[in-house]
Amino acid sequence: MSGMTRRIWLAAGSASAMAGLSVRLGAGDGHANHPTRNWEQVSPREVIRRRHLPNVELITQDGKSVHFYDDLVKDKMVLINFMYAHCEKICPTMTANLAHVQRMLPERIGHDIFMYSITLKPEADTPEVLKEYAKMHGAGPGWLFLTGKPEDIETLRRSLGFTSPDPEEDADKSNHIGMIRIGNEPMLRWSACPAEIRPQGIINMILAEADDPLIGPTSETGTAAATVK
Amino acid sequence: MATQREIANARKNRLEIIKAGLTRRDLFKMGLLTSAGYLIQKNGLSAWAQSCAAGSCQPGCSPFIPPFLDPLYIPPIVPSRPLTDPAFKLPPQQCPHNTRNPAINRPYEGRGQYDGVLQAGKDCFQYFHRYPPQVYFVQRLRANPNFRITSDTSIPAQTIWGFNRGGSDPAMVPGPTIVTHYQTPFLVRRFNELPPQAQNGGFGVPEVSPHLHNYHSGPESDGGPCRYFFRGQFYDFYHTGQQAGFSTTPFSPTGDVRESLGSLWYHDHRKDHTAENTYKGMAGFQVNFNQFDTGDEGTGFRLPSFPQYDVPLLLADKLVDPGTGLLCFDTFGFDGLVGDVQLVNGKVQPFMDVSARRYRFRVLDTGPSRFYELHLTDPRNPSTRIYFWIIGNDGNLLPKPYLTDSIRMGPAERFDIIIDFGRLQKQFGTSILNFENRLLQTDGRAPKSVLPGGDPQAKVCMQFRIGAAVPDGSLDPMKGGMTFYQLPPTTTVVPRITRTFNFNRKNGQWQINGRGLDNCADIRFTVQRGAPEKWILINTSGGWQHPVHIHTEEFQILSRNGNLPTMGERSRKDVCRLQFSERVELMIRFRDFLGDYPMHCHNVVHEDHNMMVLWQIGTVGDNNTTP
Amino acid sequence: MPALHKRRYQSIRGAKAFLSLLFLFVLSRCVSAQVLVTFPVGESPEGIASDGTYVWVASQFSNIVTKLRARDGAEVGTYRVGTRPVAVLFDGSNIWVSNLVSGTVTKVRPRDGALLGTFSAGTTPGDMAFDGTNLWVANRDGDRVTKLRAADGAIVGTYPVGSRPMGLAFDGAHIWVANNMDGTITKLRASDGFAVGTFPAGESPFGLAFDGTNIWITNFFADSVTKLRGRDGAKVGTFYIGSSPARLIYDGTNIWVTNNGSDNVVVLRKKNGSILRTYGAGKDPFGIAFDGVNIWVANSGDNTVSSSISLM
Repeated sequence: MSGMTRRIWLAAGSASAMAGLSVRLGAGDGHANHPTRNWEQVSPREVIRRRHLPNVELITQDGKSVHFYDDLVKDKMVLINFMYAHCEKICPTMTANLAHVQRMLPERIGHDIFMYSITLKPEADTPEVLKEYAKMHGAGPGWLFLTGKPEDIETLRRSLGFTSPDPEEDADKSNHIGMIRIGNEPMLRWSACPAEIRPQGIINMILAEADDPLIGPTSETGTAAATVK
Repeated sequence: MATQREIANARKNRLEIIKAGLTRRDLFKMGLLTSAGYLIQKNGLSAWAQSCAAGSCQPGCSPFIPPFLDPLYIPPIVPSRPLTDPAFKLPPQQCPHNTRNPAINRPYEGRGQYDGVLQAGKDCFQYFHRYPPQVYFVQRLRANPNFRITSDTSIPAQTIWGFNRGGSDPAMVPGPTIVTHYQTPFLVRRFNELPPQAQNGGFGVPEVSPHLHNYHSGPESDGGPCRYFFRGQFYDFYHTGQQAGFSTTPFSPTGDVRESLGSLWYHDHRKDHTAENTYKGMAGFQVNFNQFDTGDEGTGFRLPSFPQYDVPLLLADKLVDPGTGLLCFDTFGFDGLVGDVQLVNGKVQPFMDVSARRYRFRVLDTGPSRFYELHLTDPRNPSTRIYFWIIGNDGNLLPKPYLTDSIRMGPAERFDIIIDFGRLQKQFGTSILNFENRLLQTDGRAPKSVLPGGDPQAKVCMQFRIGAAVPDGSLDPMKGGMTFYQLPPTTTVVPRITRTFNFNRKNGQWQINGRGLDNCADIRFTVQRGAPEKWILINTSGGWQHPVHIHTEEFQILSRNGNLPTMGERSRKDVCRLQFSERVELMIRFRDFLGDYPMHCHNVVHEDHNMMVLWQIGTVGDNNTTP
Repeated sequence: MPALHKRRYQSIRGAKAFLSLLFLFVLSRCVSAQVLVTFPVGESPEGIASDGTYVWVASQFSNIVTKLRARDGAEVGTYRVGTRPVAVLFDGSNIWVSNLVSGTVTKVRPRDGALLGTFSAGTTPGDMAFDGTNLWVANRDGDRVTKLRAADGAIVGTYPVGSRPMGLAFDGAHIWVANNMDGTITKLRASDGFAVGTFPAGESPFGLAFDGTNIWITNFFADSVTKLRGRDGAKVGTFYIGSSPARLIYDGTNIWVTNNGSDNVVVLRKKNGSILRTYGAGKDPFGIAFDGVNIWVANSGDNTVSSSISLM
């Protein structure tokens, strides 16, 4: 291939990002020598953990210290929302809905589905304040209310996708996205549900996310009974 | 902060650029120079560039993959099968096979399940005995861990989840093309042979609901968000093969030929997880022919012959994790995904050798979120306007061909175009034409601006390389006189009711009239079978654009912002692009079938977060004007 | 087993009692979330302004501007303007309406709604500001602002800014521009349009207001409000006050912000951005105006205007 043609074809294509790689100019003949790259061998579950599930330290309403990933999320099905004790917006509805959900699924919540409400105002919401709040809403076991260091809460909120990336320092964090993050961590299955919808809708989605992945043949190939070779 | 290794690599790369003899002009065109003349701050070139850390899944971080390495892949055609095929051991029947399959403790057939729960007696095929199926197809949804998006061997093989041709063949992206003909009822049996959830590689769920976008079907065959089926089940999708209007006079029994659809696609539609599943590969093309659009350029409308000169082009933009080299999808996002790796028919920026004659291309934006403005660009003179013909919009042939130099597309829109490579080769004296996307878009909410031709930030989707002339039996739109179907009337139609839909955003969730699809039982309004309605779709200045899709019927746009639509939009359509501060009025009919269907934004990330409404066709409609 | 059931039943009853009490408790605390009174206007209003006596609302898909009496919200009249009126401004003497699709601004006499003129304003004119002599208009799709002489509508100049300018404000000497699609604010010298600075804002800056010292910015998709020091553009603070904050105004004491995503209006303390009060608005509120006594909000989602007149 002549240098001239090569230049034309390169000009014709708009190259984008390059990552630690030599530029190969064999476009068009299809079988040019391509160098190898050193790809990371990391499990997809670990990729999600690194990107979204930091292992920050939190304190429960009982004053117990826990780590977010290791103790609260790893190997579990979880419902996560953000709130604070004296909120003025949709959070009464949200918390009431979650309380209803807990009441309707007593055999699941705290057994294989875990609920976590994390405060956006850690300076104000001490474990005692959260414990009182939990009691007021009739929250039972299996539903933790969590606080922690402000910078850890902020890291957690952004990692879980509760806000657009915004790197500035906040003066006043009363942001409140009315959303419940639903995750089946070992199944690498994550979604979200609006918090203010009717509780039955939340329940339907939780059960689908928890139980649908368990349906199907147990064999590796996953073939149905009525199949052909 | 660049590591020692990165600094050394960058220097090596710069030396190689010098050795390759690239001029500064070349580098600028490739987008590697800033306007000040320095190498851009990209990892691998500049020693001071920011790293895109391993695990990043965002535009600007995907590893570089050279364009034009691979020829355009043309998906094979799904073969029809006789009923004696072992796949039909449980023969297709009007009502679902509800009997329990002990291997999975669920029914054999997934039809009849709603939000995962069996509703015995429901979802029998409407009109099954009037139009018994004559053609049968089989597809199997499965994983393929050896899928390549490029022949650049430094990029690893990918695991895709997609459709196959029904046998033991591997799943492919795009899925194989299904070819059907009007007045030939057909049935597709799909087996869910996907792997268990935990093997999804980070995204994808193994419950699926394949939707035939946008055939005129009953809800039991439409593939809606709540009719997903499980691993180990199959689901029969039956289609009457008739155009809309087939069940009543004056168009029964075959339907109104003006309602013929040609270019369709099938893709997953499972509630809450449509985006990750379609992105992971569950999409393919379907082509419908009839007595006019025949696929043979010697007959009917004499459009270029299928399959040699009638080619589907499925556009898809992807992101690749710079650490692993694997396709990535962040399931925690709400606003949409735009990728910096451009695929056409499953390969990165391919080339296509074409003969110097007319071709018909069925261009489809599979999303997930990107809008395109596609131009033909002469790389030597990128600002030259190069014209081609639009003959169809969203699978519907226009009344007549329309000459244009670009098509603007949102996710799920289709355009049928004719490019006359013979004429263009003579006109411009060139054999290289780029199919270029000039619409800049950096986030999933809305596109930004139109770039000039050849701009480094524009993306060449694929490159046409024009060869020698060959005989062309298709009609030349330039000669005039080419007409297709007239549009069914709208001006003489009085709608039974006018409904208004505001597309907005509440507390971070996308909504329609202030609500999302809360749960599958939430059917917001009822239309009346046989009675047309006017729907008004409204988008404010907020900063988002939505491709709004309505199932089972094609609508016509009566006005866009108070004006008649442009010529290219004077068509039946099933996806309406809502741009900033727009108000669209459309006329829609509801014929033949009863039951529930969705309307939703087809930016599939918006759809999953919650921009969808369920409505139903009943014998009596309601009067809710802002449902 | 039965004992367990009974205990669970009792705890459910107990929980129900708690919830009823909680509901009342929360309701009493929700006094601050009063809903403002609403008045119907035309289709999809976004822009609104007041001349002190009247309130003018532009209904973008009806192509009209509605004149309401400020003291009681009574409709005085509706007047045809250009196509897609998205913003309204009072310059001290007259009302201006920008027509996004026509590419013009319409000048209206407040006392009788007489059309004083329609002037070319560049492509897709949107938000406006007044510098004492000239009208400044943001050209949304043109990435520029256009400066027109208010007296006769003549175009004095056009100046490039960032991507998709959606908000403008005047600080006495400068015009500030919110560039919605590149996350920046441009500061132009009002005398000659010279860009004296560009400052980062949050994601999707939309609305702007000046409080005498500082510039306040709504960041639509970041769900935040940014406060910059007017003198040098230094960031003073970022506050999270609701979902998709759109437009804001300074009423002489406090900053009022419409939250398009939470259907409410919040009042912020000028000193530190803390929330003083919250009011429920109509659906999808955008524009906000102050008539000297009350605030008025344009609700694009239900074709109404909300006002605080019943509360003050």
